[in-house]
Formats: sequence, C-alpha cells, structure tokens
Amino acid sequence: MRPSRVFVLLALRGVPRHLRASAHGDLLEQHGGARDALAIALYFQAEPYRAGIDRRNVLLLMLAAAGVLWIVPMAVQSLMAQAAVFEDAFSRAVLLLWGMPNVLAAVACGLFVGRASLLPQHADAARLHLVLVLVPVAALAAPGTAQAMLAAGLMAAATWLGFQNRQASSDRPEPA
Amino acid sequence: MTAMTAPQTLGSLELLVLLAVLRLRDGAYAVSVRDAIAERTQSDPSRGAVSVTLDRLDRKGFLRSRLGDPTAERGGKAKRLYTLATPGRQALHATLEGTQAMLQGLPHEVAQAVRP
Repeated sequence: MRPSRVFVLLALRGVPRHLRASAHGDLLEQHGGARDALAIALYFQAEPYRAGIDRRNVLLLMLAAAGVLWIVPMAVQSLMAQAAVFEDAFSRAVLLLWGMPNVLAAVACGLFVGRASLLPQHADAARLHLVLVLVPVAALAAPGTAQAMLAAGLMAAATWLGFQNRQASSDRPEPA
Repeated sequence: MTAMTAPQTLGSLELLVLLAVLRLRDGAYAVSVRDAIAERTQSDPSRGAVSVTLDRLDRKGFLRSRLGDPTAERGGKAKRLYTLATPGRQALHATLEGTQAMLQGLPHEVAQAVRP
C-alpha cells in the first residue's frame, strides 16, 4: 500500500463511519490526496461545536467526567476499611486495586465518557477530544509514574470499551 | 400570548446546498453539489464544508440519503446520493419567504444596491 493511501485512510478515520466510504470515493473521483482528506476530517471534527445544544452537552459531559475523577477516589477510600477485613487472595487483589483509587477513577471516567448518551452519534468527535483532555488529567492526578501510566492506559481502554458498547446499540454502518 | 412554531430557517451554506440538491434532482452527492455551487455562485466552497452540511441536513431530516452504485473511478466506493425531503422543502420555502419579506418595501436606492 502506498504511503499516501495510508495517510488518506488515516485522515478519513476522522470522518463519521457511515460516511467514510462515500467520502473516500468522492476523494478518489476528484483525485484528492491526504491533505484534502484531512481537511474534510477536520470539518467533521469541528461539527459538534457548531450547534449550541451539542456545545452545551460537551461542557456538561466534561463537568460530569471531572466529577467522576474527583468523587470516585473519595468513595473508594471511604470503603477501604470494609474490604480490609478479609485475608483471602481475592480480597488482597481487591485491596491492591483499591489502593489505587485514581486508577479506578480513571477506569470509571473512561467507561462513563465512552458510553454516555448525552452526546449524540454525530458528536462523537467531541467525545474523543474530551478523552484527549481527560487522560492527562487522570495521569497527573495519580501518584507515581507507574500509577499515572496505568491510569492513562486503562482510561483510554475503558473509553474504547464504553464506546464500542454504545456503537453496538446505535450504529448504522455503511457498506463499502 | 400564544407561542408560534415557526418553520426552521437555513444558514447561508445550507440554503445553497439545498438549492443545489433541488437543481441536481437524483444526481446530488457531495462532489456534484460542490461543483453546482461553485459554478453558479463563482465561489469555491470547501469539500469538507459541503460534506458536513449535507450530513447535517440529512440528520435534521431536510434531506434523504441513499447509496448509489459503486463505480470504478471511485475505487469501487458508492456515492451517497441526496434528495430533498418535505421538511427541507418547508425550510427552503420559509427561508426564501423571509428573505423576500425583508426585501419588500425597501427604499428604491437600497433595493438597487443589493440587486445582483
């Protein structure tokens, strides 16, 4: 596969799934390259911020996600004493995970942002932008490099999982 | 006071895109719509702006979309063809009517200044 074709396909990842194939066909018909594909993708990425209601929902989701990142560690710490009464392997594993409340918060936040129905499908670009902002926040909130990396990685994975789950319930894929 | 539900009006590019779809009948897709606008308005709307506007109008229910047949020159990819839907026709009517109403009664010299 030629590098330019790879760049076109990569850029078209920014176009909603149901329009990707037809947008690719339009580009081929007009002999457009990676730059044109990127320009189209950027227009689609900016679309959620053009409508007032979507802008408001993006802000609400960001505040709610920040709330999850803030509240979960507190809730986890308050439950720690109850988990510590058992001495079996499972309880120790739970305790180990419970000892990283910021990592748990990052996972919860990722699942929440990925799955939230507050943003309609056409505003999925904003969901990705939110994650790009929240991943470093979650990493910075976690103590130590190992936990920061774990929080960032698990948050991205949890978002992907949540998003896949959302797509499975409300997708309309376009045949190529 | 009773609340009035006014039909939705269109933005400037949305208006041009709907008129282009109306003009192109069954052959309206992103490339032909962009070409039609460029040809008649002597402007150069970007591919992205036209594609995004078509998708937005489709989501609003102003346009209906379907997939055409795949062709070799498009690398086997089908065109997404658009046709005007009834809400789109109503929005078009409301927008043009609003423009006409605003133009009506303008002093002669002002009307002359905006006449193409």
